[in-house]
Amino acid sequence: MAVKFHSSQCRALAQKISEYLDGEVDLQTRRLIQRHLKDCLQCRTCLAMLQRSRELLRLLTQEQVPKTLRKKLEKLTASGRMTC
Amino acid sequence: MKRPPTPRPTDDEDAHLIRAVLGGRKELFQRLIDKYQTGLYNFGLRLCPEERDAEEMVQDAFFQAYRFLHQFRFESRFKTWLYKIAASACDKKRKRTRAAREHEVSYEEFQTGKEKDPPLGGEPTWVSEPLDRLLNEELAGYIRKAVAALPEKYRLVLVLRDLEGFSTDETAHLLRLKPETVKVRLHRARFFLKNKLQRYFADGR
Repeated sequence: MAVKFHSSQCRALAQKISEYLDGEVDLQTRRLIQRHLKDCLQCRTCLAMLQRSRELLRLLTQEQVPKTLRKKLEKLTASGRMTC
Repeated sequence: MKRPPTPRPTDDEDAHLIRAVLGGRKELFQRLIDKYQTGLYNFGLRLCPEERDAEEMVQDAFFQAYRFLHQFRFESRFKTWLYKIAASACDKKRKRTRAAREHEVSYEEFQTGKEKDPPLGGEPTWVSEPLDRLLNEELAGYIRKAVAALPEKYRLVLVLRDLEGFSTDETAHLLRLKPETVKVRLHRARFFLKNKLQRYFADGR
């Protein structure tokens, strides 16, 4: 049987968890969240999944700039008008 | 009322290059192009409706940046200024391309408080498995599609914050939004992606 994931405290935390991840919450909120995370497996897991999602997103390889575009950009400084 | 802090003038490598370009060494602008073209092109691919639009956007953005470089005030990073131009160029492309309709996203996909219960055994394996073992082409494609499925206003914030590395304040400045709005959109976008990944791994991939 599934455990009920969110208590009211968890729900309140969920609203701040993204800011917590970025280190953008104030000290008091950070301490509250840290205390809650110690006791709440579900919220710890939620936080870990958010962190992992962000890591995976950042690992995506970048597409290379097409040669044709690269060439056009090289010509820009030669042909582009500058109004200074 | 609290006044916003006076921006400190930027004094990084880009700022030095810009001063040199403005001082007459126009060829040095190519260094800025070399530095940002790949990032900007990928930004365009994630935001513009078509690949061709992304290419045009990159050209437009660099052209505008070059042309109006004298208007750069050294109050923000050059990258922020450039991406502001790029975001605006993408926006114009989207408005012109009527075919670029937003995907419908259900409320459930954004939910942050009632998502699926985590497994009883604790963290799922995808959270702790080494990243290089976890990320393969199929998963990368799935993440790209998930990001593309986000409505534009959320996608834009997610890309700028989590992929391009802009701060909350920079993103707010760039998109002319309040920092609080950026935080809310980022929060929803991250949960959207997390929920998608949770579902992906729950389906046994």
